Amino acid sequence: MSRFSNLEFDGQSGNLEEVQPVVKDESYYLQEARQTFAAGQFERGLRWYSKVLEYNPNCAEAWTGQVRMLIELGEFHEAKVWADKALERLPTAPELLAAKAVALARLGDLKGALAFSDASMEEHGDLPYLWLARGDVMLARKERIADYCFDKMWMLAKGDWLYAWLAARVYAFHQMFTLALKHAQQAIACGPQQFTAWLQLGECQLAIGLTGPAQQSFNQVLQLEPRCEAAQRGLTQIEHQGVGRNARNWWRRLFLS
Amino acid sequence: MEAQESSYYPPRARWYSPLWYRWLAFYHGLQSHLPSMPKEFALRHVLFSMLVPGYGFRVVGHPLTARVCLLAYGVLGLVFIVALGHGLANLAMGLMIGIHGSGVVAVTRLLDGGEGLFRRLALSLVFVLAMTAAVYLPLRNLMTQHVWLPLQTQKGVVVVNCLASLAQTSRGDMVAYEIGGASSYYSREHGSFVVREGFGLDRILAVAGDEVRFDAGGLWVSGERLSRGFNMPTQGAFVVPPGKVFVWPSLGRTGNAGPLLAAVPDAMLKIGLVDESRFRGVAFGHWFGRKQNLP
Repeated sequence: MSRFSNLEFDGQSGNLEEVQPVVKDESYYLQEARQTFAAGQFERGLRWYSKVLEYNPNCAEAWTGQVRMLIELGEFHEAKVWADKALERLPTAPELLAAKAVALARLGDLKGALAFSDASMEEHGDLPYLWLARGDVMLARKERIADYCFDKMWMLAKGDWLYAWLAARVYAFHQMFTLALKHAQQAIACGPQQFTAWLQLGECQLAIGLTGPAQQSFNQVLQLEPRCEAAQRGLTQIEHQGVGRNARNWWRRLFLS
Repeated sequence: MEAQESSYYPPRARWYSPLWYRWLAFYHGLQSHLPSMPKEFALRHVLFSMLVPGYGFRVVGHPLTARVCLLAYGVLGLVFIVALGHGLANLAMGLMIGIHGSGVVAVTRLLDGGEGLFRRLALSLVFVLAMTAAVYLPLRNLMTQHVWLPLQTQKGVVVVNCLASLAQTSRGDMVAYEIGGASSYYSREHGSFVVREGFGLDRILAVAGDEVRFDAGGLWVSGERLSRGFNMPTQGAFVVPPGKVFVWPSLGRTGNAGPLLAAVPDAMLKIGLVDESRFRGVAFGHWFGRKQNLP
């Protein structure tokens, strides 16, 4: 019996609850994967999703998560290959179809991307990720309806900061930093404690040339996550900014934002 | 996390992946700009029909025609090489271009369901002209400048081996060399004459290090007597410098040289010392079983 077992706290007495050991199963790794994804640690997320699949090879979220990690890491061809492998097992998984659409769009196969996005909508049209993916495809196709897709995504996401952050990343990939900035601000409004949202905000501000606000954003990131290397790199970049970069930022502000 | 990869871990990008992504973006971009094609059609068919003569017939469902075209193309290619320098070679090349273009014309039929004849003809004409200018003519020029050079002589066409080097030649070899450029204009106190640009085809009389001596009867090359050539000097001697060979140019003459005749041997001596920059090759003794009529 523990010597602390009969301690009294504010008039209460009794045994302390025993610490439950952590059960590392499918749900544990899935949770870890979601958290690492939200923290922007895509490599780790990839491995956590692999662990999930070892427990449950038919977990659609894990397969989709892996494809999305590969897309975020810029490995679009590998994302397409892995999506094809996943679709052999789960041919009708809507988020998987949507993820493949994004991979195809990033590879330049815009017809294929639209086809897979349409297929994902036919399976299940009420998931925010499907609309996020569709917006990504529409941006790649340079169609104005992309804005509608992101609005629809936001409506379905019900204020989840994660989707605002992902939308900001999509716009940033397509070099539309002003719109990315808008979604990053939305992500911060919904999740002010999420350092990845602040990081995305800082990167968008830096890309547009707003070095002052970018510096503040990166400092905010370091307050929330002192080990964030991306924020430290951003601050270093601001310190060493030369004439060329200033000119480029001015150009971007004037013509591309 | 475990170092060993899970079987559910995806394959990762390699070092060459960025290049692959750029190619895919270009490929898809190209495909999106081509006219709309039937489902059974693929961009690779268009590309193959441009690269492989007659392939277009196979795409539209005539494999036998495709094989015949490819075979004919090969035979004509052989005819072109064997008859190099003759009119028959030009005819063969024209037919090769025609076969190649026909394959592409066959493929274009699929693009608009057989309609738009004018459009297909225009497209085909553009392709044939582009192919001729961008592929066939450059290839032919490349071959004649660096591999086999056909020269028209009074006795017919002589094919010269451009792959031979000056260092590999010896006395008696029939060599081709360039005439012209800065050495084309000769002047004397009372006038001038011009040697037109072109190629010379003559036998090597002396190689680097040989002593050449002229007299009234002819010339001596390292102690060996050779017969006199047209307009050779009657006196004088020199040693062939390193990196050169000595030939006596067999040039025709137009007009009356008059007092300038005395300047001709000097000009011929300058032209006759051939270095690597003007050397073009050694004439074949036989060309595909046909004995060449060497001067």
